[in-house]
Formats: sequence, structure tokens, C-alpha cells
Amino acid sequence: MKAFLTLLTALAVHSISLSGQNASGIKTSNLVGADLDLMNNHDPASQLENFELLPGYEVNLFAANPMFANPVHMVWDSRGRLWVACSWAYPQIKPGDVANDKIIILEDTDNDGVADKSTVFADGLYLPTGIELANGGCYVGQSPDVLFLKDTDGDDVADVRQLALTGFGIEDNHHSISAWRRGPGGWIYFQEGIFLHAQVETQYGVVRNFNGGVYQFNPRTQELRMFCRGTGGNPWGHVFDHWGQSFMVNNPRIMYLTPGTGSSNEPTRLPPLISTEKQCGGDIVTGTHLPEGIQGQLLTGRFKSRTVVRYEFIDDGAGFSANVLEPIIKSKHPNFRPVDVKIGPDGAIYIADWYNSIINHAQHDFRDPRRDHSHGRIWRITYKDRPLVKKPKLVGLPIPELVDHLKSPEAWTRHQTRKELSERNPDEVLAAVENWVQGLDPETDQYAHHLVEAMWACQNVERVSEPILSRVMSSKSGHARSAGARVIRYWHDELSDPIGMISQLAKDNFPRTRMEAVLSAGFIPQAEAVPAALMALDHERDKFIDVAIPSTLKGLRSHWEPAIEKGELDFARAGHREFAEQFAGIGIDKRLIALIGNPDPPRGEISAVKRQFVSTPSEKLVSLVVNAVGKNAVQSDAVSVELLDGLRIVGARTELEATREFSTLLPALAHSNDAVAVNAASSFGSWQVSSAGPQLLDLLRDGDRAPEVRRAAAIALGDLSQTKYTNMLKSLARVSDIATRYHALTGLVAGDLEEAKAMIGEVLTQEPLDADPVALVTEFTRIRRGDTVLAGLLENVAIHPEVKRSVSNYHRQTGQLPHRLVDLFSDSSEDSLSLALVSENREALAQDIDRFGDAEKGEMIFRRESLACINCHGIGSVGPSIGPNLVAVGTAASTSYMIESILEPNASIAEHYENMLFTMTDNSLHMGSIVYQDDNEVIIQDSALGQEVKLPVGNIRSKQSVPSLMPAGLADQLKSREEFLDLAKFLSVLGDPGPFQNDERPFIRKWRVASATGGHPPKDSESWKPAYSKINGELPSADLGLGAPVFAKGFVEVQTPGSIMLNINRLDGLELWVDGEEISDLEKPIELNEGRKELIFGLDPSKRSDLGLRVLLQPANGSPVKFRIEGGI
Amino acid sequence: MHARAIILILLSSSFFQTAGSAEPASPLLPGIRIAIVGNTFAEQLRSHGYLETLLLQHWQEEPVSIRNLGWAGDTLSIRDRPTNFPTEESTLRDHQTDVIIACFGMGESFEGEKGIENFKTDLKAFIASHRGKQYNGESDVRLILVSPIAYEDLGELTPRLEERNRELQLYTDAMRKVAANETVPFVDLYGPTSALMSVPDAIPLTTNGIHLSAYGYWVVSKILYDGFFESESAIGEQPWRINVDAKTNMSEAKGLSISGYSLDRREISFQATELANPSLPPPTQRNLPKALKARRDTMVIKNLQPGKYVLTVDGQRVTTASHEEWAAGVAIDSTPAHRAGEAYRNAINDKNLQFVYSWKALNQVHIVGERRNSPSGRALPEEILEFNALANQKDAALEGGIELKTREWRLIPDTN
Repeated sequence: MKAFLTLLTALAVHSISLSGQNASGIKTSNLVGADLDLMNNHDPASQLENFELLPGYEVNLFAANPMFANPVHMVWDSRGRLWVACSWAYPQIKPGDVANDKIIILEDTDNDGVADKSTVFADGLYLPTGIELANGGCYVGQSPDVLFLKDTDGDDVADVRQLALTGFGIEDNHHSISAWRRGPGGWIYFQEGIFLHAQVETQYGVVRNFNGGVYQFNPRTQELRMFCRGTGGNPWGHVFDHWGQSFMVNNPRIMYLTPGTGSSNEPTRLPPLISTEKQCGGDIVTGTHLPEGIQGQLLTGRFKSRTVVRYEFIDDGAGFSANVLEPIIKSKHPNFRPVDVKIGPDGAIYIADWYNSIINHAQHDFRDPRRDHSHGRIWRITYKDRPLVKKPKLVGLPIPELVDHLKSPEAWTRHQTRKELSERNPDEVLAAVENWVQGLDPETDQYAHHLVEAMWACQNVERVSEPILSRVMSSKSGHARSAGARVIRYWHDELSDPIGMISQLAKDNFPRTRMEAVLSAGFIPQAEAVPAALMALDHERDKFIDVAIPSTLKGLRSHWEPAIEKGELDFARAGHREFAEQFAGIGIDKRLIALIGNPDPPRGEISAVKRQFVSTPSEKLVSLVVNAVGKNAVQSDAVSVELLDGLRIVGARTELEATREFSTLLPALAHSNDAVAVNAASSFGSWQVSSAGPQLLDLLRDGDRAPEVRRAAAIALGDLSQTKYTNMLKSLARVSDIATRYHALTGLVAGDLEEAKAMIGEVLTQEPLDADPVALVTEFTRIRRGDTVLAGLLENVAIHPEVKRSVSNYHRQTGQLPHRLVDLFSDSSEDSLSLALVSENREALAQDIDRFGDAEKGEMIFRRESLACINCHGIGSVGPSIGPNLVAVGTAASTSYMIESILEPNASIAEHYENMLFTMTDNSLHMGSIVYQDDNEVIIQDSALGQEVKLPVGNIRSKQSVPSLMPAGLADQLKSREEFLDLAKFLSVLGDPGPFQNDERPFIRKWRVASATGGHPPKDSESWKPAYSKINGELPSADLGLGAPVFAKGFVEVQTPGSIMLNINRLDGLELWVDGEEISDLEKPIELNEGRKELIFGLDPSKRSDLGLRVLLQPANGSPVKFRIEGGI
Repeated sequence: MHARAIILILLSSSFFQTAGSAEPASPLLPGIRIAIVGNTFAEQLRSHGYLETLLLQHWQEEPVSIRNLGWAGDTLSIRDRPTNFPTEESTLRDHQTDVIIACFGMGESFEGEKGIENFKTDLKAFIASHRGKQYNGESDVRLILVSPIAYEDLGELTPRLEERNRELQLYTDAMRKVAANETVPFVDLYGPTSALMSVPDAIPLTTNGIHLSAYGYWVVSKILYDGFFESESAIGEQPWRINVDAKTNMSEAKGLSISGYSLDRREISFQATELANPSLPPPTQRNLPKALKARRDTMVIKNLQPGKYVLTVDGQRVTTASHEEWAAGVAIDSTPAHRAGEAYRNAINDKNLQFVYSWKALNQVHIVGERRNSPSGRALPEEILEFNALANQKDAALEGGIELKTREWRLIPDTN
């Protein structure tokens, strides 16, 4: 009863505060019971009560309003004071308002862990998104500007205000220049995200960037460079590890940036280390106060699910892999919104809490009345059993004493020491650092790192020390050598033999050193840097160095390509020269021949050769391909398929004419591999080889061939544009079995559109029998304005219900049917559930969802195959990525938004998922969401092909936004209104604290399930059907098949060997094989070596009844094991 | 040589040149609507307001109206904008533009000598793209071209000094030539700034070698203003100048008219009627180089009795100086009129800020771009119209300039 009363009061208060407001942005579940009490309880004690920390940690309030409010970003100064950028104006000022955002200095003068002094350093700012200290003052990013503010009279109030840089992107301020951080070498790094255009004029030139990237700014010389381009997304964090490696929190991805920082100055597509939930700010755990177990981990704020989560990085070749770990702190308080995390001078963890029940300006109205403009918190986490660090005194220290702090075990102290040194006399600093290095004991543990610190200190004063670099290069630590290799990109001008250094480091034993050497080589503007970099080829490569090498080769292209062509460039090995030649496109014919002869060539080589063939086609290459495929000389079908596809593309674009040689290719039409036959037929079509007509016709008529082969033959016949064959298609379309009619008509769309238009209506009134009308319908949508044309033709046609059913079903599964056609093929009746729901009062519906919806039932509905949700949406680590991952969707979006997304998917489309239609210069069409774009290419997730496709920018004629891929009318697949309430409820609580929160403990979530009737796990992959665990980690019995014994297998990637323990919901009726070996005792530790492991569980249903399977992996006590459960689809 | 003359000579070789023919008359006329386009230099004119203050006060009763459409980093050929951002043409029409002041060449000059031909082609294309356009709905738009400034030596901050200045000179010359051929008025900033940067007592004009500081804008705005009106008989901006001889009882003034003297060798008082607008004080504490001193309002009092004297205007303390300093001339730039002038400049800056909030509002993706349909940003399109209305209101309020008055000036011995 009490809860009910609270609710009533809440609603009453609510409606008053909202008078005149449209309430559709309000998440009604936030108003239920305790949540609302908490939301309106601004006593920090209410937050403290609701924190949950890892064992051993405690939290206290460091500072709160009114000392400051709305904290965005924090940075420590070398006196141990915390500078906080605060924005009252977010997300945008209103007409008549005066922007008055501030930078506030918080100080704990008595070292009791609580700030007792707050000073307004600067005001009158407008949306400061990042700050960093240098040159005795503070740089402030507030797009489009970077200001430099400085206090000259010692009152801690800025009295100098200069514009340092301007021209950064203004398109979306939640990802404009942010995540500011001084790097170890003294450059300041900051970044911007997707959609932003920047053009910044500097004395070194104009720096332009589009669609995200990381900038680096040298405060000493004021040089601005792009550190990395093409990162897109919402980049809200950037950290450097112990050895200066760069990691980016670029949501929802964690990225390792270094491989993408080469000299090509081109956007680089970096594969994420891991992709989870959106996060903001962050720091690497360092220092003696915090326990060993979490050192080196990344802490970052999950403002949606109100946790500060941890990531561990594990060396993986030249790069890293990453795992997500249990949060260090969680909160149930609706207003806790961690947006920045920094380790402080006392070794504690400081968390900036934006403190607002709503977040962001994409999901909630800019003018939502609940936007908070008066609160803010900074929390401080300490470890109970370990002493705090004593704040060092650095300011005013003589240089030699300052330099000695580079030895400090506290990263905080070393960082501030370098910063202090950067403002001292450069020559004195250089001398002191070189002297300090002389006195170091090479036998101590930290010697290598001290050397690297010394090197960074020199960088901070823009001085080059070859003696220190030489010591770093000959260090025993690969990490140190990799840091040395990186510095060459900044120092090469003043080094005696930078090329020699590169050749040495590029063949280092430690893979990351090789990669850094390759990257640095790119910045030395000499042809000889390339042979030096290619010394790296003597070792095994990996996906990280494979990003670095092309960047360096591109960056230096104008130097080495002319030299290699003139024969003036020497390489250490013939293989290195070949590599460079291949890169330059010299000797493509040789490569093609090698590819043809290779029975199992790598995927990358096939696509590289294909790309080269398509971009520089010649008669000779065409002839090579035609002969090789036709004469069955190609050793791998995959190669034939791709080369024929290349041939087709060349045929559509080139000026070249088909020669008589094309007859050699005719046997390929009879190839037993359908994909080869399809692409061969398409090639004949695109080259208009009329002599292939008779064979194509035979193929079309051949009822034994696969439908796609027959269809390809028909389309090719149409493409020939010869009356003879068009007439054949016409008569086949008129009188044949229905399948042949479909194919022939599909061919006519290309051959004689008018004729196809005349017949389409009649054909679609026929019963399809076993044939599938979908391809015929979609062929119309592949021509320009084809959807409009078809819609016109079918307006008064009584389409056969089975045709409607097939086409609607296709649309439900894929969302591919153009908007205009959806209704025409709709098989739902007038009184559909969708229509009924759409006409309901939105607010009342939202309330019903919150009150009556059953999230558990909703989850099972979500998983239902007929609803097709799981065909596009992943949740957390598993599932596809065609639509947005829904792991935390309930935390960010309102219930009304949820309703709208299901019933009217076009009304609100999540960022990055906007569906675009590209018309190419050859009139072909591609549809999908853009996953990456730069000046040269657009990569889309092609919704028709279900894979990524690269579209060269030059070949795009036009692009337009098209409706959501998510089909409308999905609700019609539900059995009742109750089911809708359940489904919507499930989505609206997804990610909220409770049973549906994002639980990232290592459960096996991706499964393959097979029947156990044979007694042994089947070997062939077809027998294994995909299945996925529920949010709670359990693979439900429904997915295991009821009654009969089954096998279920999951996969784990072991990064560091060791033993694991299984935590299983129940062991009854369970057997386990790991990589084929039976495990007798499931309760004992299992020893795993490195690599991908297959865990097969045998389940006996007689002993488990309808219990599902829930498997959690944990490191065995004390084991160093590191692993990652395989996710995805 | 008189400092003013140096600047005049600096300027006379440079602006509004046409090869041998008569100089085109300035397209700047009372009440017209001006748009400024171009690079970072152009864009930042709006933050300081010095040029606009001079231009608005030029025809006080019928002032011009200015919208700054400059965009940092713009060049003639690359002007990146947010997706679906309104075209420049539509903004020029909205403002009913009569005259465009176009500042280019800084970003372009990084292409060096090899980029010169492209620059000329782009410049011709730019001129052609506006030719015959009637953004005001009545008459063809007129252009004025402005060259980049010179590259200032700031030590470590400014590498490739000589090379870059050679390039900037080349691009300035190219612009001059194209302007002459197309009979478009042209103002050279390279020459005068280069000269000013090299005078022995120079105060840095820039913060990084290429971008002007507040002081730099104060200086360069005067050069630009002179350039715009040089072909006219009456030089626009005239600093106040008051000469008094305490011994001979002689006085003369420019920019003010003086009456009601009462003077002896210890105390002087008079009424001064302000005829010209006061010159805004330079935003620097440092001593101006000779060449610029004469651009400040100045009073010279010869033959005072030894001692310190304080000047008050309408009872408000303005400045204090010794008899020697008065004899050499003291800058007068904080009288009530000067304060009104500074307030006027701030009002201009505020008008420009409101226009920026409207035209170049943050969160463009929610206004015109990729997320324009997002329900969260639905208030924004309406709000940017409100900001625009605010800018227009504030622009209208600038009409009439500052009030020029007759005030009581008194010079008395400083007893402090």
C-alpha cells in the first residue's frame, strides 16, 4: 500500500513539474517506488548507501556541490590539486542565456581525503569538454576552440585568455574534442568522433579531419598533428600504459591505437580489442596504494549502468587483447553517472559523478525538465589495508632533485615530474637527465623503465639525447625497446643514423618493438627507411603489424616508389623487395599466376589480387583470368569465385572489349560449385558475350541446377541485350513452370523492363508452389526507383497469399523490403495488433508496460525465431551486429522510446545504424549502414549480402537515407497485447540493475547444440545449431531440445595458460570434453594451455528434466590463467 | 618622418590598385549590408570587434550591418561544413548582402610556389561565382579582397620564417594581380604587417606567428579600415588631438572643439565638444611603437609648471602624468566617451555572438545533419531562429553609435 501511495504522489508531483511539457521523454519506470525516492534524494549519504564495491575497497565523498557542479573532466596539477571542467550549459544554451561554464580547482589542504577549498579558475566558458595543464596554464577544449588560460598574479584566477587553436568540429558536442591527456612525451592528446568536420589553421599548415580521430598538440612548439584518423564513434577516453602505449575508450569499443598512428595520414580502420557498453573517461590503475591484482587495468565509467568497470590488457603479439572484469564500484542510485576516473596523488581512485537521472542528449530531450544544473560529486575509492601515498612536493624543486623523482614507483609522481620539467630550462634539464642516467644502477629491476622515463623527460623539453636512446635500445626489456623505437619518429632529424636504428629495431625479438620501428620509419622522409622497416618481415607478422606496414609504405610512397622503379633501392632480402613491389602494384601478373596455382591461398591475398585486378585491369590480366578459370587451372574454388567476380566488375566498368578468348570460359557455367557458375554467368552478362547465349539458355532451363544459378543465367541473358534472347526470356516467362517463369522474368528486368512490367502482376497472382518469388521481387528493387515502379504495377493486383507470405516473411527476417512495397505484400489483416497498439495512447501503454509487463516472459519472446529480433540484435558479447546491441538499452532509453522503436522503427534510428542506399556509377545499388568511411572508400554492412562491402568513393553516384532495416509490423507476430507488454518490459529493463543487468562475468553465452543420438559429438559443422544463453547466463532447456540427449559446445580463448574452475548451475547428467579429452571431475581445476579450446557438454535430460545449462569459468585459486569466452554469432 | 605618414606609405603601395587605371571607388556606402567571409583571420574579426566598431561608426546615423561568415581554416577551394549546413549563398541572401569582404590566402599559401596557379584559378572562380549575384534582391554584389598578414618571428614557435614569408608575399602578389585584372578592390595586409613586425620597438601582433592577438586586431583593423576608405577624400578615422600651451594660452584641437578656457600654469579647464568618435584604447599595457602612437587620442600640454598633473573629464579621473610627459603628449583613452566606445564594441561582439549561436550553433547534427530527425533535439531549430532574432535586435540597437557630448575637462596638480 505504501508503495502504491508513493507512486500516486510521484505521479502527481510529476505532472505538475511537467505542465506544458511533452511527457513522452519520461521513463515511467523511473517513477516507480524506491527509484523515485532515491532520484529525488540529493543527500550524498543516499548515494553512499547504495554503492557496492569489490572486497577490500571503501569509498568516501571527496567533493560535492555547491563547491562545483556538472563535472565533465578532471586533471591533477603537480601540487596535487584537482582541476574540474564543469558545464552548466550542457547540452546547449537557450536563447537569451549567457554561457558561464567554469573550471574549478578543488583542493584537499589538510590531506584528509576530502576537498576543503574550491576556486573558480575561469568562468564564462561554453561547454568545456576537456582540459590539460601546460606552459604554466591550462588548455581548454570547447569546440570549435582551444583556449589557453593562465593566471599570472598567483590568485589562481586566470587573467590571460588566448585562442590557441580553432576550427574543430561543432556537429555534436558530446563527442567534440575531449578526453584530454598529456602523453609521456609531453604532447597533449585529445579526440573527436563521428560526423565532425575539423579544419584548423596552424603555423605548420591546415590540419583537416573528418569523422573522428585523435589529435596531438605539442604545447612547446604549438604544432598540431593527427595522431590517428578514422576512429569515428564516441571517443571519450584515452590512456597511456606503463610503457606509453595508447588505448582509446571509443564507445562501445576499447581500441589499441598505436598500430593506427603511422605516417600515411590516412584513416585507419582499427579492429577493437573488445566491444561492450558505452563508457566515459578513464585511467590505468597504478601506484603503491592499490593492490597488485588490479595494477595496469583500465578503469572507465559506465554512465548508463552506473558502474566503474575494469579491463585487463594482455600482450598479444605486437598488440594486446582485452578482457572485461567485474566493476570496482556499482551503484543503484539513479543519479550516479561516472564520467571520469583518475588516480590521485594519494594513490586513491577519484571518480567524477555527473549526477543526473538522465544522460546524454540523443536519448533524452535537450530541454528535458529533469536535466540537472546544480549537482555534482567526486568520489574517492581507497583500499582499506594499504597505506596511502604521501603527496610529493615537486613545485619549486631544483632540477636534479626533480629528475630523481622519475624513479618514483608512483605513476602520478613521474607524470607530474615530467610536466614540471617541461617548464624548466631545456638545456639544464637535458644535462641533469643525462647525468642522472649515468648514475643509475643497471642491475635494478626498474632500470629499463628509468631509462624510458629519462628519454620521455628529454622529449618534454624538446631535446634529443642519443646516448639515452642508445641505452634504451640495448635494454633487456622489449617494452623499453618498443618505447625507444617510438621516439625515433620524433627525434630522427637529430639522430646520427636513424635508418640504422630502424633496421636494428625492426628485427627485434619483441613484436611490439618491430611494429613501433615500422611506424617510426614512416616519419623519416627517405627511401631507405622502407628497406629498414621491412626488416620486420623476417619475423612472423600479426594483425597489428599488418596495419602498421602499409601505413609506412603509403606515407613514404613519394620517396621509395621512384627509387625502386629506377632500381636504386637496396633491400636486405629478395623477399623484402618482392613485398615492396607487390605493394606498389609492380608484378601483379606474377601474383595472379601464383594465386591460380595455390590450392589454399590466404583470404587477404585473394582480395588483394582481386582489388588490384579491378583497379588496373588490362587485356593481359583479363585473358589470364578467363583462361585459368575456363581451363580449370585454378586450384581453389574460392579463387575462381573472386576472380570471376572481379571479371564481372571489370566488364561493367572498363572500355575493354570481350575477345574471342571468352569462349574458353564457357565450361565454367557447368561448374559443380554453384558460386563459380553464378559468377561465370554474371561475367558473360557484364561483358555482353553473346556467343554464350545458347549455354546460358540451357542453364536457365536446367531444372536440376540451383535456383540462384538459373537466375544468374537469366539475368546474364537479359544483360546481353539481344532481341533473340530477350524474346526467349519473354516466352519462358509466359509459359513455363512457375520457377522458370520467375527466373525468366527476373532476367527480363535487365533485358526488357517494359516487358517485365507487363507480366509481373499476372505472375504474382499465381501460386508459387515450391518456387520462391522473393528474388523476383527484390530484382525490381535493385534498379533505380524500382520500388516505386513495382508498387505502381501491383496497386490493383490480387497478389497470391502465398507470395505475400513469402515476401513478408523475407522482410521480417531481413528488413530489406523497400518501404513502398511493405504494405502491398503485407499478409496481416486489418485488425492487426500493430495497428491496434499504434492507435493506443502512448503514455497509457507505457504505464501498462511498466506495471503489467513480465520481463522474463519478454526475454523468451525476444528469443523467438519467428520474431526475428535475434537475427539482427546482439545482447552483450553474443549475437549479430546488424542492429544496435541492446545490452544496456533500458538504461538509456525511455519506455516510450521502446514502444516507438518496435511499432514505428523509422521514427527513431540509433546513431550508426541509419540505413543508406548507394547508387553506384554502374547503376548497381547497395544498401546498408555505414560502418566506416574516409575520403577514399565507404564500408557498409551490406544488408542484402550480410557482410561488409567496400564502396570506392569515386564510384558512388549518390547516396540517400532509406527507412530502417527493422521491419514495421513485427508486433503482428506476437500472440497478444500481453506479449507486447512483456517484450517491451524486457527491453525497458535491459541493463538496469537487477536480473537483467549487463553481467559480464565469463559465462559461456555462445553455444552450438547438436543431437546426441549418435552417441558421439558430430564432426561436421552442419549438425551443430547455434544457440545463445539468456541474460542470466543460462542456456534454456527450450534451446537444448526437450527429452533427447544433446551436446552443447562453447569456446574459450586462453591467452595465458593456467587452470580454471567451472561454476555450473547443476552437475547432474552432465559430461564434459575439452578439446576431445574427457574431464572426469567437473569440480576440480582444469588445466588449459594457450589457444582456442572447445568445451563439449553432454546432457542427459532424464537427469536434468527441464533445467537449462549455465556455465561460468573462473581462474582456479592462484592461477595466472587469462582467458576470454568466445562471443559473436 | 611622422608616424602616421609611415603607415600611409605602407598602405599606399598596396590597396585598391588597378593597373594604371583609376582606382575603383570603395563599394562601402552608408547603410549597406556587409558579409565577411574567409579564413581564421576573417572569422576572428568578430571576437574583437575593432574593425566593426570603426565601420559602424563611419556612418553613425546610417550604419552598415555586418555578418561574419568566416570559418576557421577556410580556403577558396576547401570549406568543410557540417552535413546539410545552409549554403553560403542562402546566408548571403538572408542577410541581403551588398558587399562581401573576402579574406583568403593563409591556408592556401602552405602549398608554396607550386600552388600559385591553382590559387589564381580558385580566386578567379570565386570572383566569378559571385559575379552578377543579387543577394540583396536589387543590385549586384560587390567584392573586396583582403590578403593574408605576414608571418611574425616568434622564435621556436615559428619555423621556416623566411620561406613562409616569401610564400605569403607570393600569394599576396597573386591576389593583387587577379584583383586588378578583375577590377575588384584589394587590401594588402601582408606589406603593412610585415613592416610593423620589423620595427625595432614592435609589440607582437600575433599569438603564434599567423593569428592576431587582441592587440594585433586593434592594429590591423586600423590598416584595413584605412585601406577601405583610402580612395575617399576624407580619411575616416581621425584620432583626437589637443594641443595646449600653458604659457602662450594657445590651444587647438582635432576631433573636438574647445571652448570656455580657464587656464593658468597650475590648472587648466575647458569644455570639449566631441566631434569625432573616440579612438578605442589598444589592448596592451606596453608602450606602442612610434608608428602607432599617433593612432591614439592624445593631448599635448607644453610649458606646465614642473610637477604631476591629473586629467579629469566630467569629474572622472582619466590619467596622471608629469609636466614633461604632458609636453611630449599623453594618450587619452579612458574618458567617459572612450568607455562608451568600449561598451559599444562589446555590444557589437555580443551581437556577433548571438549570430554565431544561431548560424553556427553547436550540435549541428541535431539541427540539419545526420540526427536532424532525432526527437531529442526538436527544440533546436526554433531556438536558432530565436538567436537570430536576438542578433537582429542587437544589430538594430547599434544604430546611432555612441552619444558624443560636451564635457568638462580639467587638468589639476596631482596631490596624491
